[in-house]
Amino acid sequence: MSSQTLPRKPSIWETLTSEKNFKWTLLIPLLLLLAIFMLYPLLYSFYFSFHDWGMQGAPTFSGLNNLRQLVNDRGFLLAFGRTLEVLVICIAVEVLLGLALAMMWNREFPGQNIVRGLALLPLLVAPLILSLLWNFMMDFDFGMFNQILQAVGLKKVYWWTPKMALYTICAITIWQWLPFSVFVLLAGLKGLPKDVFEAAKVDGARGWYTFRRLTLPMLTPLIMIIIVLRSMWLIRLFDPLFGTTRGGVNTELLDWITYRTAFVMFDIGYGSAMAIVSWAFTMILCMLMFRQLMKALKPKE
Amino acid sequence: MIKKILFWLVTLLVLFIVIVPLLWIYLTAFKSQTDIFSTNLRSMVIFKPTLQNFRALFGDYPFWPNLLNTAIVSVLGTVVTMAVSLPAAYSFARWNTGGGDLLFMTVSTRMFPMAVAAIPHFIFFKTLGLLDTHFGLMLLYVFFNMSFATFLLYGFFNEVPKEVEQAAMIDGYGRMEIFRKIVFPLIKPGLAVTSVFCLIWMWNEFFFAFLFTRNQARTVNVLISSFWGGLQVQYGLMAGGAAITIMPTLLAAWFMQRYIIRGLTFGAVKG
Amino acid sequence: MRKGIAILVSVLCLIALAATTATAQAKFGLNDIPTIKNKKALNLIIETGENHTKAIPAIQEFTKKTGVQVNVERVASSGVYGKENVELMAGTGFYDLVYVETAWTTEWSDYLYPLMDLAKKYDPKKEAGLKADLAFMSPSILVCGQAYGQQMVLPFYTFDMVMWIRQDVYDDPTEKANYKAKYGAELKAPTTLDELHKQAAFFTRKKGGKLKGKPLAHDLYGLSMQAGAYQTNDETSARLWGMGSDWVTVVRDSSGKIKEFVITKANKQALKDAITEYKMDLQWDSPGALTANFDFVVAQMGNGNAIICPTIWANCTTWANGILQEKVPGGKIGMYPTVGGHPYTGAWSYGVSKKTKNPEAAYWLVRWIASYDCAKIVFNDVGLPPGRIDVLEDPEIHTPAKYYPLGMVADYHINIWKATAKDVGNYWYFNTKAGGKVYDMQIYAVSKALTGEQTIDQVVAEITRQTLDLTTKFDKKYKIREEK
Repeated sequence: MSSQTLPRKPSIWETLTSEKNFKWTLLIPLLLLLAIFMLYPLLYSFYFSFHDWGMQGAPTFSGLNNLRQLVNDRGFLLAFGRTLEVLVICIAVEVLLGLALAMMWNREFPGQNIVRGLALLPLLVAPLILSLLWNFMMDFDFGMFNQILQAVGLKKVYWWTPKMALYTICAITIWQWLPFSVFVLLAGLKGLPKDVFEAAKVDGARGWYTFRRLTLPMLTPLIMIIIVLRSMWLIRLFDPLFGTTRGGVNTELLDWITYRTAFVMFDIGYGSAMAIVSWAFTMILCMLMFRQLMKALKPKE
Repeated sequence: MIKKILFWLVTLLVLFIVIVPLLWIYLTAFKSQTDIFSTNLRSMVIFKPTLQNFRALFGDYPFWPNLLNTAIVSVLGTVVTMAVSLPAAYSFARWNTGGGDLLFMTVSTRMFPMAVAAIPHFIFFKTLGLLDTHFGLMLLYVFFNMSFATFLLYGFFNEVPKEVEQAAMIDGYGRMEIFRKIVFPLIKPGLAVTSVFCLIWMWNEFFFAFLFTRNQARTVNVLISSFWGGLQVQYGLMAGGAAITIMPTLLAAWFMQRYIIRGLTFGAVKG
Repeated sequence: MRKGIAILVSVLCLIALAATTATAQAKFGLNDIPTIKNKKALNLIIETGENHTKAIPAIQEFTKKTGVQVNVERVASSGVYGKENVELMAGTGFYDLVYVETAWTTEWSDYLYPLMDLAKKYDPKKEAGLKADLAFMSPSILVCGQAYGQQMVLPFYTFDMVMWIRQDVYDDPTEKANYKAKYGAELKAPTTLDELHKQAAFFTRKKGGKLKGKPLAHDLYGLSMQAGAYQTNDETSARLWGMGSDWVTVVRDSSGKIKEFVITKANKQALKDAITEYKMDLQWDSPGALTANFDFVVAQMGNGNAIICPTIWANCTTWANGILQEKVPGGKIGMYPTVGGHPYTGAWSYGVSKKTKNPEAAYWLVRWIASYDCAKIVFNDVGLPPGRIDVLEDPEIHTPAKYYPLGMVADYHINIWKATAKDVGNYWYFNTKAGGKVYDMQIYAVSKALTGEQTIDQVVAEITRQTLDLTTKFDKKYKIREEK
């Protein structure tokens, strides 16, 4: 037995790059980081949602108390509802307006590089700084917008009334993220196979028909990707609130109430419960959308 | 003819809406404190420009060291993110590793409220001695961006037809060579796009930079937002800082602009 | 014999001379800091803000004397609590000096050294050295910086609330006459809520109306308040305390020790009244009040847009006055106690972290920052009122040339501290470990009442519920209950 030459054991490199294992090898760095950085906070928060802890001393076990409180927490439920409202409004506007602008700019025109380059600008400024500056720009007395309105003879508008403030927040975030959908869709439009459109034209197809039957279905995967990504980010919307209303005047959103519970009041137990609940909600919502997206992308494989 | 007028009307309106707030930043950067709080439109546009904001920014505050920190963390972070995400995205696109669920899990890393995740991460970093280090912050940024990067790159890889790779394999090319010589050049535009978005995100991140750095690795955004002072908001300094900080990302985005249009095509390679 | 008496007398004279110079030099200064062997650098936070930047050189004097490097980190005031709390909880020990808003003192008391302990260890004069300097500081401010009877922090600058009025408008004969004709009373700073409302209504005028006999180029508001989600709790505290009530009643036994906390029916009614009055005041304020922080109020006063600021921070006076002098010729600010005479009080202070690697130097730096010389610079050059009465009583700023505004600011503080000294120790915030958490909860709760998101009754119930919840969770020392 010992005199037999066993087949040489494959080296580590060979094992890793073998047909079967290569695809997993490629994932090693990613999975490692995932395990370290995602698992720990999740477990930590999960643990704390069943405890009370104020950053000092030992956490005290409180069972389902935090969750029970959460369900009855008017402020939290309102924040939840508002977040959904913001989600629907922003995505609707961003996709529709984005599509319209992309269609419009999907042609050769003088100065196109400059126009497209400038249109990218809102994405480039740090969201937090932007909110601080927007706050000043929308100031009732000193803000730029009201001063422009006054100059043309109109009345000053109070942008942060309890009824309107949430929509002002929507406007700010749409302003910053519209370029994202415009550019993604523009690139998508440019990538559509020209021959299909030529053929349709020869057959006599006109504008709206072409759009509905050809353009839109081919753009659908892209639109879905935009919706998934933006939904993920909009549920977590935080930056515009930071420098402006800070959750006051009816603008408290999910991430804000979580932030002030966990990070301003440092009620870690309750804050963790909020985080787990809103995370679960985000997961479910995005999972549903993701499944749709995968279906749309499948035929490519 | 009407179409053309309409086109330019809408385009200019959109540009106007987009640019005016940013123009305001640049104007404010050159105003003195009292001019900033003016109450009429005329003095908003016509004023005596001053460099005092910039002088204070460079002289009294560690603006350039902070900007350097931002650059180091962002650039390195982007490189590492690409190094992690590229192979992962290839794995997902080519073999659909782990079914759709594993991909979804990576995408879901940004679904957790940051404020709550901050504390366990802080403790973790403290134990490892990574607080206030470039490496620590970079690692955190890589984690936050790898989901987005993997997802986006996954889409680009999806566009490379399998037949091309299979033909090369039949011709006897090794896996690594196929990746290097054939697949990689095709997704270069996509890589450029993803890198720029990652860079921008890292460049502009605030919350974790604020918590996890003190004086050593502090990034420029923390500095700028610190002008939102207790007893006095220094809009001039803020605008000045923002005006300068935008420029590197603007440059990067400008260069990538051509790639961006070409690169985000889901289906371009088909032609 | 004669010679002996002469010698005795001269010796006595010498002793007397030495004694007087000794008492003159008795005030703690940089020269009293002994050599510090531990040269490890100290880290601390100073708020951001142009004014605070000017205070840094004063603090750096410490380095020149002791050779211990002082590293200053600038953090926006709204971010201080979060940043330091995380560092303290994780036990990093990074901040040697902890920047504390006095409402957090009790909550962070476990993280800090009692200053007397450090005095006993490092001060050549032991506790007596520290006590001697404390004698020059405001007793009520010191109480704010104590936890369970021990001095944990010393003040850097104070934030007492004040009521500003446009003194020049109140002194104007036209306005005086009009007011008297309308209300039958003298126009002077309001001391009751009724007077405040009358005067607020009186001064709310549209563009084109008249002020001091001259036409207005813009709308004028009677009031300017910080009704945004930043300071609503402090403005409510001023009202509550002014009514003689509090958020929660601190019940003591016969020996003066705290027995328990009770949210009495009177507390709840007072809270309801205070918020109702607060909401009512909004009608005489700019619509911008609902998102306003103190910088907005300062701008309103400075630009001549508002006449009365009923509950604003006294340490903003020099700042607002600076703007006023530029924008409104002849404008003057008058400082008066808030209605009810019990404004929110406290100080931004420094304590020594238990995890510091250089407790000796940290102790001396805290002493330096709170010392006469440093506080004098902070007040005179930076404009931030210190917690030291001797700096405020300095005859130099009470000369007619310098009285406005520094002398006026000084006098206001001295008087308000005298008036409220006996009550401050009994305010609930300063006696509970849950103070910081409840404090932050109140900001948003009250703001919801002001914007109409919730009714006042709902908000009072919510505040009661959350106060009970948070205090039960986070103050293990005392029990709290509600009187139903």
